[in-house]
Amino acid sequence: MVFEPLQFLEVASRILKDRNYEEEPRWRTAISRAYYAAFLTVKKRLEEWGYSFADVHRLHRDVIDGAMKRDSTMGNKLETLFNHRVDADYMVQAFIPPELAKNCTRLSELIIKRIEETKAKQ
Amino acid sequence: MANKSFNVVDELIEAFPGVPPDDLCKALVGYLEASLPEILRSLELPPIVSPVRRKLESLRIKRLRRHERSRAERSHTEYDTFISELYLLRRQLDGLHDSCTSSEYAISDGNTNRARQERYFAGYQDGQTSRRFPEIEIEREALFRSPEVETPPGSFQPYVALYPVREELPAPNVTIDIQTQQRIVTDKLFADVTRTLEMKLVEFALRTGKISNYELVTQTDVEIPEWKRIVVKMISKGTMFDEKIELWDELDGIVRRSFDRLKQYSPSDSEALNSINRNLFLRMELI
Repeated sequence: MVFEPLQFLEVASRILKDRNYEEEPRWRTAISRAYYAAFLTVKKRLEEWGYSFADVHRLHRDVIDGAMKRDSTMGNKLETLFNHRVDADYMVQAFIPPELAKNCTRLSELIIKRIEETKAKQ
Repeated sequence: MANKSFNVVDELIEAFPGVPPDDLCKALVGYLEASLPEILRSLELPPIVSPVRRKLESLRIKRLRRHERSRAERSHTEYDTFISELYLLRRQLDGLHDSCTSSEYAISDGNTNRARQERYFAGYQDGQTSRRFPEIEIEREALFRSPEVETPPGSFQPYVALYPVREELPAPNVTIDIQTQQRIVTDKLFADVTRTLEMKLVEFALRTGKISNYELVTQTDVEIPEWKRIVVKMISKGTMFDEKIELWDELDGIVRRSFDRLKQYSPSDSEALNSINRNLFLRMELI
């Protein structure tokens, strides 16, 4: 069975509301999962359209560049989400408020919706 | 004066017999270069003569004999040029002059070719254009649009707009990081692109009144350090998420179309422009 990236988005939405965990780790985890949901969905669609992502070290860059070529509004959003994911995962001093986590989750939804619409039009 | 400076060098050579004269000269030049800016900063500059006073003087000297008149005119011109150059130098030293950070600096080097000029003006095609000091453009426009308004008697003040100025939207703050500025100075095509980009960003902010800040940065990545991208960070205060997204997408469309226009004006640069375009990201602040 192949993993469905949308499940990451569900985790992000759930963890935002889950009071069993400390607040900041929740916001950070939600941002990270929201990014991966969008990133993996975009990657999957781009691969269906003939893109190949052989170099693992350049994977994020190549997927964002691919999204940019396809639709710059989608590329902007994926790059923005990527940047917040880097902050959430690596930058312990970065300020991560709950609104940011919530908006990153919504941004991920928009990216996924956009790429699915593009697929449907084809 | 020249003799005096030679004496200084001679005295230095005498004082430091073990040091080669060339090294002493270099050290002296270095010292002068380091101290001149400070001297210029601390100088009390004479005032710039007001245009009214200068006009009155020019009328007065018309009565003089020709050679006296031309001497007076020459001295006025020399004085004005010298003083304004000193003020300009001081502004540049303070980092305030427009050309220090603007892409215009790279453009006004006297070596522009035709394609480059057309690319330069491509940004002006959409009618109203504003850039670093957009409020000046608006004020100028307002002056031309309401010439019938008269000022009340006795209210004349020099250097103040005579006509009421249209209420203006606040201009956005645009900042460019050092790395991007360095590229602007060294890469003429990139300089033209950023100049057009800056105009489009400011126009958009003035039209919508929803963007308060832009920041152009060269972003590197912690995971992929060699991946450098140009990012325009935008701040829109007081707008909800959906509105932010609308503004973001609309501005993206404007920016990408400006690349198409640049390509039309300079087809030979299409490849390079595509490369800059693909590596340019717009990023809206989400909180």
